[in-house]
Amino acid sequence: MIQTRSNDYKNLLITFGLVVLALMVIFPFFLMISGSLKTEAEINSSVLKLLPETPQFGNYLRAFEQGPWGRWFLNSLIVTLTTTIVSLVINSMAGFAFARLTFFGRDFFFYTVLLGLMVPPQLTILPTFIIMKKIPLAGGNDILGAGGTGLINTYGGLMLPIFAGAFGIFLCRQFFLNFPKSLDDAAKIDGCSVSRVYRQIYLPNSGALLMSLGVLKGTYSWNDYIWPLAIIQSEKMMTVQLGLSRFRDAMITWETLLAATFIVMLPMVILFLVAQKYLVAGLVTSGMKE
Amino acid sequence: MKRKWMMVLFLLVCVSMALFAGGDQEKDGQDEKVTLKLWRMGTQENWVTYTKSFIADFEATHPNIEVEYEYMPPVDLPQKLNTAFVAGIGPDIIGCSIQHTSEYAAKGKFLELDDYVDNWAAKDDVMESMLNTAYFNDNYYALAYHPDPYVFVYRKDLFRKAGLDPEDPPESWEELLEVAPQLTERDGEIVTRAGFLMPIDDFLTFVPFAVMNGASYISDDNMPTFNQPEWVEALEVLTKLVKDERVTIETTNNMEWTTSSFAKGNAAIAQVNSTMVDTFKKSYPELKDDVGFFAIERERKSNWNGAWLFAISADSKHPDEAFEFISEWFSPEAMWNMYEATGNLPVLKSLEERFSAVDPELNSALFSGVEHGLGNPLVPWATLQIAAIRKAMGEAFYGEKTPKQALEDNYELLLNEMKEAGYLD
Amino acid sequence: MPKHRLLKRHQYADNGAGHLMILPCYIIYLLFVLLPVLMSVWYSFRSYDLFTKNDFVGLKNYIRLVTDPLFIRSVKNTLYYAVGTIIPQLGIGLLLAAGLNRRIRGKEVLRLAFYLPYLVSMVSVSMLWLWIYDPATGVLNSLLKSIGMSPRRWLFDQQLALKSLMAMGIWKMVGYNMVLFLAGLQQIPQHLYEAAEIDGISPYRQFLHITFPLLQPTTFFLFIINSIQSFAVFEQVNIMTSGGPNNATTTIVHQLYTRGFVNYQMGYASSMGVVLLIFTMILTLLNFRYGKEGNDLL
Repeated sequence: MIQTRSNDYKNLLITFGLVVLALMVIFPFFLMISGSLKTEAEINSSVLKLLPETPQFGNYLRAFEQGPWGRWFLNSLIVTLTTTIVSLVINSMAGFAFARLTFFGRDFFFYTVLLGLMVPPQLTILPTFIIMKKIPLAGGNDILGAGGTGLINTYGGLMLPIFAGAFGIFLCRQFFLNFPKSLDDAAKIDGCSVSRVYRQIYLPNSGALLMSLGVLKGTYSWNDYIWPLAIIQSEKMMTVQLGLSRFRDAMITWETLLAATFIVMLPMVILFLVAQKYLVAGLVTSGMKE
Repeated sequence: MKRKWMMVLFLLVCVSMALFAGGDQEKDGQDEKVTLKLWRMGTQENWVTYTKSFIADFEATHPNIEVEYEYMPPVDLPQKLNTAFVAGIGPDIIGCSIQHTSEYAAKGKFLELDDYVDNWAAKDDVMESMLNTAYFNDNYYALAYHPDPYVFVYRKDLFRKAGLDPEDPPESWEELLEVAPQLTERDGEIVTRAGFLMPIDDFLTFVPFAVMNGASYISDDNMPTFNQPEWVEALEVLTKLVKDERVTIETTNNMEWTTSSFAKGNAAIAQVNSTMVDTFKKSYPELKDDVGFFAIERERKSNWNGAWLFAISADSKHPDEAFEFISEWFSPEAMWNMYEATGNLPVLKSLEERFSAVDPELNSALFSGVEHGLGNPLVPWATLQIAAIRKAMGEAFYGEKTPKQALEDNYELLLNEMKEAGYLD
Repeated sequence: MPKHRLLKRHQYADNGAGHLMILPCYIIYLLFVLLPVLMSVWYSFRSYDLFTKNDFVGLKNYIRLVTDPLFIRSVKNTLYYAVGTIIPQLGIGLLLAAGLNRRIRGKEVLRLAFYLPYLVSMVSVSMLWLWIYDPATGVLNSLLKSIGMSPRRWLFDQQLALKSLMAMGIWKMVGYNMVLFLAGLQQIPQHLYEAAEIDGISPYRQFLHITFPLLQPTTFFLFIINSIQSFAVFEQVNIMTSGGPNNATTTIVHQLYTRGFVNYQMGYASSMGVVLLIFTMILTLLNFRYGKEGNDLL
């Protein structure tokens, strides 16, 4: 790129604008951290102070004394990592097929996928729960799916609906649509099988796509609340979001709630920081440049 | 082609591994140990801590029973409980409120406790009003252990500051209308301290106003009554306070308890429960003696009295053990521990004397609160009625309709809703 | 969608391979997403009250929708919310992505800053904002006062309550849009810009003629995702306002939830869900048809 002087100024101006916007966006987080260090009286006082008198780091200890947080973090990590990895693999495969292949019933299948995207979880939570309970041979169920508890209160029950999320399939399809068509033709002339085209041409060029899908999917399963609330029935199997809900009641203890919220969001911040290097990985194959 | 198959196979293995990984299944019924699932709504720390310690004691004396305790914010209970009930794997013991009790009982989800209660040695010790909280259709459906009476409180210090006599609280509607504006503090348009605390959708404060005006919450033939003149007058007074005089504070700083502004020191007069009084006294120890109690007398005295109850699921495989748990929960020893841990009014006659001696003024106000209190009616449409009353309040307080119009319209709406839901022909 | 453009009927070149590739996803999807949807559609024709009643009632639930003042109110609120959030989320997201795609310093930090709101669960975020919006002690009013403006009643003001929720919604979703737009921008071959630069084409026209058309699939995708999420707005309503004040913020899914789980009218609630589903489906199909989605590749 040709760097000119006017370009420099423009970049400076844009940076300035972005910084101002960013400060506005993160201001609530500043409030959150400062609130997590206040005393109960400071938080409830009607006079607003931006910073606590003396930081109460004990709030963090108090927040995490109230349950087996180690176990909850572990549960959330298992669920988030598994769902992210599995859905990256299977969603990108399906997305590729929907975007690049022609096969019988493709449009029908794709439209039914779209349908799933549009359903609010509050609508399907009850039927999904019933299905989870009736999975054959799981959780003490017999071959007909009766007798036991099925996938209720298991990692499987937590993760399965997220694996095949319509969102991931759709996202991958949209991105693969964008690849130049000449790629396929060249590969086909070379006699590559479909799966090789997918693995050797498409996947290596999808860094940005896979990373953004991973980040969004990971964040989604980490923060999911409605489904875990229904499917989890014991303290051992709870996720961090269910743990957070325990600070909510008639009278919120704000300082512990904010402290816990802050810690709970940290793993996702780290995930994003790691992934964002690859978000800008861009296209590497020269073949892309036609 | 081979590779493709391998890939699919690999994925299937992945998925099935995820399916079966890590679930810890209960095997109750197979060995001798019985597992009771207890779901209690409410995440307040003192109650949770008490419940956990009670369970530990209970398990120690009942080695064959294991109690799995789960708790959740009240707002999340309906979804979680309904889903589990439909799938037939709900809890054995449910800790809920009156409106849930009548609804689940009507749907056949709560066990009829008659046989247990009639043979219960401690039955005669439990206060009648508590025992009858969930007695309907000639059956006990749940047992109330935690009365939640609301009492009228006022801040003597703020009365003094406003130049009012701190020993003369407003004991009529007219006095309330006169005093509340003087006690209200504002910052421009925004009220920063309520002269009288009337949260906009808080039917808990509205209903007692109607009842003290002579209304009954439901009619003798189990119908809603809130289109009647006693209700209209009550809503007119409150609308004057909220809309014309703007004496109430608006705060988002609460979840379910709309009256928490009192505990935070932002209200001069309010109708609150004992938890709010306790919290206030803890936050403002120097104002401990400046909290006064009063009753407004009109046709009769009235205040809100909710209750927390334990019910047993009709699907429970271990109802005997479940009742054993509840029975133990009501033992005098446990009740007194509960009082010390949570401030709960012990509902046993044998503890009344000991309790009154602790804090005569507050506790006699609380007892009177239980005596004159009313809670949600034991009808399966309680939730629908709450929604209709709230809607009417909103329409009146925001000036969309006159109080009379709002109540009448929403009364019609409620009848319609009841028909749709099959409670009316 | 015009079939002849998408599929050349005489050839399903990838039968077998294509089916295999969607198989793992589709089986799970069928069982845990699609089947529940179909069950809900089935409920919507019944008087299902979860426990005691489950009779076929034909279109009764759907007829009731039209006469239910709360549902009508919720439809209006939802439409207002959707229109007022989708466009700003897309617009601001794209601007941020374009800005952050340039060679500027500290863009890693800025990217994180804009993405932070999406990182925190809606439950926590809603509670944080409750605090900000408090009329008497909230941060927002304190800030307004300190710059000499008069404080507002925010969530207690019938005119402002929904807008307050919308502002929070936009704040939360902008980072999400930004991330996907960034990924989309990364897909545009750099050499196109280099060529344009050499030809002396202004950055504005570069954006109009290179960036925008090539971002079509991403924009299309995000438009649909944003629509779906905005039309399904629920959690913040349930936590922050419970649909109040005076039903100024009740939404379709809030009504669905209340009817289904609080009032035990799952049949009626399902009919609301089906209506919402049909509505978003139509919106999406219209997009497929009229919005060029970069689909004419086959």
